[in-house]
Amino acid sequence: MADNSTAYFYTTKHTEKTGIGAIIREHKGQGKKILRLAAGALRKTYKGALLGPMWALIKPSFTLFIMWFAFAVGLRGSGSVNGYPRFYFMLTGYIPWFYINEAIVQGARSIRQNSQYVTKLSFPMSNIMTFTNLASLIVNVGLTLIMYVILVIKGCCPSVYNLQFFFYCPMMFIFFWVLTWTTAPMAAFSKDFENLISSVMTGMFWLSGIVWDTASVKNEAIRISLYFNPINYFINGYRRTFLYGQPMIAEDNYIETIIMFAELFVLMLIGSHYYRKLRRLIPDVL
Amino acid sequence: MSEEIISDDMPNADNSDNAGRGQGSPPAAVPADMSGKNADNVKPAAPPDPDDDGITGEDFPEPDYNAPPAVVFEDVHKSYYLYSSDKARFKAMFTNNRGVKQHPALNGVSFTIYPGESVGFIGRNGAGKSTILKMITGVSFPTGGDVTVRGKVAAMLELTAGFSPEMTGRENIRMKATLLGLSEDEIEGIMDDIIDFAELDEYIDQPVRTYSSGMKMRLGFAININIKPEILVIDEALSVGDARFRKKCRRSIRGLIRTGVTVLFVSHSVDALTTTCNRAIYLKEGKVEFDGSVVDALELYNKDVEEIRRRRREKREAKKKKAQERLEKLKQKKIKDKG
Repeated sequence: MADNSTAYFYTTKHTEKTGIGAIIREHKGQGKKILRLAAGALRKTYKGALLGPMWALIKPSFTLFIMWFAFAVGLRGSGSVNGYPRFYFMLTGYIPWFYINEAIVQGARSIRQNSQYVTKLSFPMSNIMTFTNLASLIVNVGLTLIMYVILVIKGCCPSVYNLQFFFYCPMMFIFFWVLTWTTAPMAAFSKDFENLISSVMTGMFWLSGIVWDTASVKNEAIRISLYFNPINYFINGYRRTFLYGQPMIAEDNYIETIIMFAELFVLMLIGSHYYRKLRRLIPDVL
Repeated sequence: MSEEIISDDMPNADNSDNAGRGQGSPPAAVPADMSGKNADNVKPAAPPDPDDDGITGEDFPEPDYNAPPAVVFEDVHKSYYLYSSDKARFKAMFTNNRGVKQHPALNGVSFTIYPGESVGFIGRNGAGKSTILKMITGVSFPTGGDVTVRGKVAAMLELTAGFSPEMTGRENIRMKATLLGLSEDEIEGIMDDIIDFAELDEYIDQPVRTYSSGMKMRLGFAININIKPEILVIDEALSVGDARFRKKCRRSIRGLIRTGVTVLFVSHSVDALTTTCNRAIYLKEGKVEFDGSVVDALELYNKDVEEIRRRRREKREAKKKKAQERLEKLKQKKIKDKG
């Protein structure tokens, strides 16, 4: 028995002083497990359907098709944005939005939805947020591929700037994952918080630059205040990468980048605080 | 169900699972047939089970007191917050639970359990048994003090926990074993054993939502027993499936004990305790009242239970007496009125 007693060792002693420390410890050596749980979460959602997890791709693709039909066929006169047809402009905004929306809404619900992992099993709680977000990310990478194929066919891509995807995509994952450190425990603790988030997210779609260009807002004060919406940073980042062909660090987005990183830092602090505070209380209230 | 069932064997509290395979379980209590462990110091010896497989507790290995302890509780306190409303709960997120009423469940519990020991926890409802088991399985956290657990824990607490109804039995086995920390190879290695043990046959590739509750229980039990735990946590009713399957479960648990696992056992059954455990911890109002031999613990527990019963009886009698007196008074009054 002693031979592998180190593999299964659990103590409440010497717990980390910070939530970040706890989260890092909870993720050590769990990579494979998290990946499998993410795949399992996808399978679980679409189980019982013939096409299975393919639905995760089909559903948004259908939305995109409708959009294309409406803007490229129906409203031909919907004009262009920054010299690009509105459909491409929206496509490059919609794809990251799909992920952001999923990550925020599902991420906040994750603990409550997987409550059996918290109340019935000894399971590192922060992993729940990770695998939920990862499942959304897997779907989104598939969607990005579809988008890329469309853009290549239409001649907007490829370009060297497409490689910026490998910065924006992981960064987007990290940002909204860190956000769930706060939202998921809070939503698990109080259902009001969960409802608040879903309500806010419906409005966020129109407040963020998905169908319109944030850079072309005339009022200076409003334009600058839009920098504080991190969703805009990532959506514009995707456009720089796939549509405009602009570098990710340029004079016109210094401020935006700095604000995003500052926000990420603040979120880390808040999330760390709330995760540590609520981690031990949640099994008792769920 | 507190002291009333002290002499019942294996109270079938959640025995809703007989639907599974139609045989149904006889209402008569099934004696725990793990006889012989402490046979020399128990007065009412367990009746011999006609279907006993011949395995007795005598060959259970001696606990290893020199090894690092399997479970250590150091002055563990636990109190639950009682929120008066959803509003209070929402507020508590920002006020650090200030002013929220608390319910103390454990008030400084300390004990050490060594590998190979089988420890029974006894106590009335609300004494903190379940809270302790939850802490050992790593689900609940102490408010104060520390808990240390060495070894793979299998919890026979909520057997059906963590199943996803849409996935098949096989996928669920894989999922649950992953959650319990097993590797891919290990899972493949025990997969057939689990399916065999659960007796699910062709149902194993059907979604779990089509299972009866008995089938789910059997699957849950089969997983927990086959992951080769080092610490086995069992809560009270082992009423899984019909009588035959229950016996199979007990046999496999005994088999595990013989390999030297640590067993933590919550039960009110004298039989099960005396035959399985070599140590008992009696909990009273969130404190360790007694820690030692099973017989002494049971004696103390029974004494306390008797005391409570006596007090209750006295109360009842006092009430009766009062009513009688009142009746007498009324009668006298009636007589007076007539006269």
